[in-house]
Amino acid sequence: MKWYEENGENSDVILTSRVVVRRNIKGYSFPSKMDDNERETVQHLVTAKAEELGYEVKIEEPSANIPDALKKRGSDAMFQSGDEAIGAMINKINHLTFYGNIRGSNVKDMFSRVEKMVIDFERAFDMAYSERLGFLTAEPQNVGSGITVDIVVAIPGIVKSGTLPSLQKKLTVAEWRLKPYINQSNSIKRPETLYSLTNVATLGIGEDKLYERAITIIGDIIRVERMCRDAIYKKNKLVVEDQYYRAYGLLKFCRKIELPEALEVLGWIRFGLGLIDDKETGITLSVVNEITEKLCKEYDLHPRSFNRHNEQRAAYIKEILERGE
Amino acid sequence: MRCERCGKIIDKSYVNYNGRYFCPDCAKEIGIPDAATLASSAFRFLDDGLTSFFPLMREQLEFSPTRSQIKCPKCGTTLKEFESTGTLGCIECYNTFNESVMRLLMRLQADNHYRGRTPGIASEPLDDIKETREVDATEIGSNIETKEAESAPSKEIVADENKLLKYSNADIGMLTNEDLNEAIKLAVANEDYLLAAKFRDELRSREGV
Repeated sequence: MKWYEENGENSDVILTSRVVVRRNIKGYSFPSKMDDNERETVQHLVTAKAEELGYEVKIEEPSANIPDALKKRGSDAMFQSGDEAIGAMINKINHLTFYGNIRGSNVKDMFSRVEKMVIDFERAFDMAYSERLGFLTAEPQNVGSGITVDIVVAIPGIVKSGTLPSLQKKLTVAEWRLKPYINQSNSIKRPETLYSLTNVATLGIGEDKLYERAITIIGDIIRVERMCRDAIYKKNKLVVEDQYYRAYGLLKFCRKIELPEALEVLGWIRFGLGLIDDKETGITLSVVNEITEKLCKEYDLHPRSFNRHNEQRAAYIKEILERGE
Repeated sequence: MRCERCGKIIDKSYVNYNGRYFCPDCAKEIGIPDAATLASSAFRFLDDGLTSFFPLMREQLEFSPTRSQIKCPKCGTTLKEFESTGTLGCIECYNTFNESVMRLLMRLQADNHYRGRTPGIASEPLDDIKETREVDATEIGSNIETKEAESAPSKEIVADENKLLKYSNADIGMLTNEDLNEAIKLAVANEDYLLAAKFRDELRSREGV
């Protein structure tokens, strides 16, 4: 089973968790300055080791139809595990960009798997490393551990209860950042309920402490979010139920919808699921997550023009809803 | 906050000049007038402002042609290229553009020293982290600090061994005197007297003994 086919723990709050670890091999320029020979050598060394360790290697040769001037240098290579949860891209910004993905909040196993994979490669190759700055990366902002943990959280309860600013302040002290998933700077702003939680520090903190913090913060966010949802529902039951059913009606029967609006109304459905004794709509958390994921993918592909295709968006939301009922 | 020129931590006294923060020493060196001087001679403000502005400008002008010519001897990346793309071309770029890299790190990170693991050596397992706990909304993040304070003796030993390994693998010339003192203590505690003697000799040679 692939990692994205699983439901994941606590997926009413934590959608996906991702970790990226960057490493470079000593003796070669970073990818932006590599010549074809260096690029091929690094790719060959890494893919050989990956195959030896039992990973699936994928090499995508540049298409013959692309004119030479536009052709990217070399081929795109990567390797990944059978469940596609962990793997690495070769010669992107760094020689090795390891990654690990998981649905929901159970990040401990994913962190351990990624760490093991990274250490296997560190033992096989002499990595670019300095005692003072740690692992040297092509972008100096990632120097040190070279690790970025990125967790997508859906927190309508925290947002609607007004707890968000104090939470963001406390996360800043712990050197983490919680920012809206979607950058709405160029449009009329809709209330955000989907956030991206990332670590800021790659220096001054060890890998074990960083992962420990991530696990602790995830646990805290889940509990606070549920507490907020419960408290708001107890206080404003009618309002929450009204918003929940309105949101469902809007998603089901709209003929065009902008992406931020779709995410906002999905936030209300997510909020009400599990609290409201809904015997009418038949909507489930996996349907809400499927729509949310599709919207996120759409945004990731076109972050600057995400408000196009409003009719197609309404159509696929309706289709997913009907399939799930 | 840190001085934008020398990187020294500034606590109470600092000089804000055109939105840039300097420590008093650097402010004096580059000719920025202090607040007291400006306040005591209101009529000389314009004159003083101009005369103090010129050394600062001169410093920047002196730097400009040199800065634009800085180029990595290994991969050919220029400082301009690095500043526009934010990407370095090779390991040597870290030495070539050290000043710019350190300034960037000072701005982005609270600590600019690596405290992670040594390549190829695993960090502590994540098995003993507790995930379930009752908290309230105001408590978020507080347990992070308490967790750091708790440390079992066995973890300390592992950490010390890793640290010693780090020092023994390091280029001895790059270690500071404080590092060497710590390395000697760790090596003695680990009964590795040869290694301790190596660090001691390096320290002595630095002190001219």
